[in-house]
Amino acid sequence: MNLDEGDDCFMELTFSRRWKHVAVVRTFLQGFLAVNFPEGKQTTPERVAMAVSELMENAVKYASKEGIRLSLTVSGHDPLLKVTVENPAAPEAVKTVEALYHRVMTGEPLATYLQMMLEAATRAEDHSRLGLIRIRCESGCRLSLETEAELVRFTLEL
Amino acid sequence: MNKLGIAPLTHDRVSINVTDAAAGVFVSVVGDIDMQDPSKLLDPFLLKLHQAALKEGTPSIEVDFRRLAFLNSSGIKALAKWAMLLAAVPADKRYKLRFLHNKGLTWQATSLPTLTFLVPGAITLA
Repeated sequence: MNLDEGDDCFMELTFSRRWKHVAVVRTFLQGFLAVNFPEGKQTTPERVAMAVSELMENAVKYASKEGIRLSLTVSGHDPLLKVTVENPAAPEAVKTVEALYHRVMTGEPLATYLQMMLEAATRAEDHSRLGLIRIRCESGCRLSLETEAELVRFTLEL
Repeated sequence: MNKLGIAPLTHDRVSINVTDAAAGVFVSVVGDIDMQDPSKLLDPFLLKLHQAALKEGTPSIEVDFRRLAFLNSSGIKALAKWAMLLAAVPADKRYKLRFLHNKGLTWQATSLPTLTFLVPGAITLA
């Protein structure tokens, strides 16, 4: 971030793996975005807050240790909004996330969402695995993933 | 108590209430569903509702989501499981499932319409 070069709003939070933090941060973020949202975008603060909430749920579920980080930048240049959510993760979890992300980003969004809903409804495991495809279909943001050996970082951009 | 004998459900920040309606029952869902594993709450409730409706020959279930402000993806999975329960019933034995939604609420604009595609013709959106 460089406030002298047009970035006009930035915040960063580091929080621990507590489920109750997800709703608190979502509510805060929705309010924060309501007064800092870039103009002229098709999406809304609610949609972005939903996407961040889904990413935070994943981070809380799968983080290998404390230290989930959320950062948000609203800028005067492209991307007008950038949100990152990152968490430490075990190497196996990193591979699982990469495979899921690849699946989610393949094909026509709604067709993939429908197929993944069908799979979720008939799978015995607890996890829905619907959060990322939901973000792709509903958030209006560009979603991307970066990984390191023991780190997962999702980015949303407008 | 409604004609299906389904008790109201209140947990965390959500409340679900079933009342009688002319053509079946009306289910009101109010609040936020954002707990870590909503299936523990929703799966048994929706299974009981589904089974009671079939047993009583209930023609329709109308579910009002318009005051459900947030539903996480695990909650969407629970609704998808309900839809697949209905899909497993022969078409002539099914009740009609109708979702009332608020297009102004983010999650309802895409996820609910997509759910209706799971059982074409059996779930409608209003």
